[in-house]
Amino acid sequence: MVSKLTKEYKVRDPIYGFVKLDAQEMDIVNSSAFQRLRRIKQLALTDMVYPGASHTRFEHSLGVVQMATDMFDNIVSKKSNLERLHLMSDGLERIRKIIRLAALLHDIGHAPFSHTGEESMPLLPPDHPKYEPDGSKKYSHEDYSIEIIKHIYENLIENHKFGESLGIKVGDITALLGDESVRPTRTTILWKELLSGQLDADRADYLLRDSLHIGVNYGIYDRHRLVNCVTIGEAEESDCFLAIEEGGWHVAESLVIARYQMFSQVYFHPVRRAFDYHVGQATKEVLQSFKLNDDVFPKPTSQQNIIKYLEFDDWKMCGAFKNTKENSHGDIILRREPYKCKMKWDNDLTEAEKVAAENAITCYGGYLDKGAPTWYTLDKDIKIFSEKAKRTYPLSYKSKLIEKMPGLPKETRLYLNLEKCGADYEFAI
Amino acid sequence: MGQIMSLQYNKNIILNVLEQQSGLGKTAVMKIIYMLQQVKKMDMGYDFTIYAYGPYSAGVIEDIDDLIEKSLVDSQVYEYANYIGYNLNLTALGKTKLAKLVTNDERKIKDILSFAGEKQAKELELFSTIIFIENQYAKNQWEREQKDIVDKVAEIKPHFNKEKISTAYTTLLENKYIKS
Repeated sequence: MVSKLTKEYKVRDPIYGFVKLDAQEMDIVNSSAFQRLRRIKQLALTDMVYPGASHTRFEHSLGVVQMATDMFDNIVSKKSNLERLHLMSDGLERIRKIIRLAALLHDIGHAPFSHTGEESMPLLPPDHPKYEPDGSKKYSHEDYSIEIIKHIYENLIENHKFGESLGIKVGDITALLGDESVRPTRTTILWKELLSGQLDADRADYLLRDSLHIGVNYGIYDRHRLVNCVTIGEAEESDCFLAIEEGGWHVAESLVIARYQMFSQVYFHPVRRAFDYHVGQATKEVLQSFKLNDDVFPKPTSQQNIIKYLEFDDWKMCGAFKNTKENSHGDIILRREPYKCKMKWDNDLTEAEKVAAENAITCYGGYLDKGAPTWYTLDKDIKIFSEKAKRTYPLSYKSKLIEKMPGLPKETRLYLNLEKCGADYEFAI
Repeated sequence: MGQIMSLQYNKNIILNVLEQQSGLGKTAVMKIIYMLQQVKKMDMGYDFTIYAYGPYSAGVIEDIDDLIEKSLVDSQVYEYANYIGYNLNLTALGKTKLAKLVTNDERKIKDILSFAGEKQAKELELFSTIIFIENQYAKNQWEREQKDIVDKVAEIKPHFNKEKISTAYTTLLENKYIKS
């Protein structure tokens, strides 16, 4: 009979078939903070445009575990990589487990409506390692993930019977997620690339998952080929980084094209961007009505605050939208009558255009959407490593397509309230 | 307008760096921008994290690529010993778009370029890594005697020997790029 502790759990997944989890990981999945991710949609209100986009951070988190594990297992299956990794002090089994736990928990700190909710995060205090002198920097969902892991998952990570022989500490996990309160090591510097870098499992999973749920083919690339081509490059002896094998550069090319197309066709869709705005504003309205300090989410600075923060999910916010006033942003979302894009500019606005746009906004209500969100970067120059020549190439050197590829669209759009300006309104200077 | 203004400011800084020192490698520009932000406290808002090749920000690369796409900067393939990179130059169009900086910013760029402009990418990787580690230790209020920083940098970058790291540390200290 298989004991509960050594049992392998298999969760059905539309990308991988099954995601395999051990007893410790399953206990994390069954925790209330992780179950909350079922109630945070991956793409906020993208389903207002693409009705299939109702998938959540829960399934994406499981997917990143599988993707990161597949990449790691493939990397260490190659003799040349193993030789390089032997230079590292940590055992492979331990590193594999740290990567899996970090992958599982990487999005645990997301606010309601994912990235859109981050507008309502509090400002970083001066003693925070990421504080910037001008004081304008806010907490990010990564900061919340790190603090939630420290405050909520310490016991499950450090004292679980399944994993305790590996001696994994919370700091081992948070270091891979950018925790600057942990001293960096060669191991963390290398493997954090697998969770947030040019070749990370996070983006590799969400491109496929978003495409599948939305019903588009833009984000598709050859997952098996990618997994098989990820390797460890070496600039000089012991100077290791993640790269793609020289023979597999075409899959790196298709990954970058997938990123570009998903952005321009889906993430930057004008109606979808309008709902990002309304969700951001509606979240502020709701937080005001809850009379929270400074109308922002509780700071992740204590267990009590984190528990309060974790009470917020899409369900709670949508319930609150129902109780907001007529013509509030919550009401606009419920009626599905977003502000309409009435003008767009490929270049920066002239002074005259700025004045005219601001006048229109004052008159009718609306806003200027100023280009790509900061959470999305193309990061196109993936490193290609030639084992034979011991040489590294940027992808754009190998691929003429990538060399000539434009950056992400950065157009500025003027959105106005149709109820006030009327459907026939035409913007003019 | 904050975001647009801030992007223009950052790109103008990159253009000014290339105007003062043409032919810099893309990696060198990354490290110089890091030093301008970290050491000279120029408010560019880039998020830097440390990878195997030193401090890195995807935002800097996006801005450089945007300048190349707009033909304000020209990039030429350059073959280094064990990697292929790009050297960057301001174009004639770039020169016409260059906005004059306030004196203070101009001085900061001059300072950093006089220190870093002629150094090899590998040296800049070492200097910027020491600055990153020293800054992280300071923010966390960890013990940060020279030995602590040198040992940590030697651990994460074993291809630099401790003597070389110590010398680089002392140089940074003398230039007041890190605090003792």
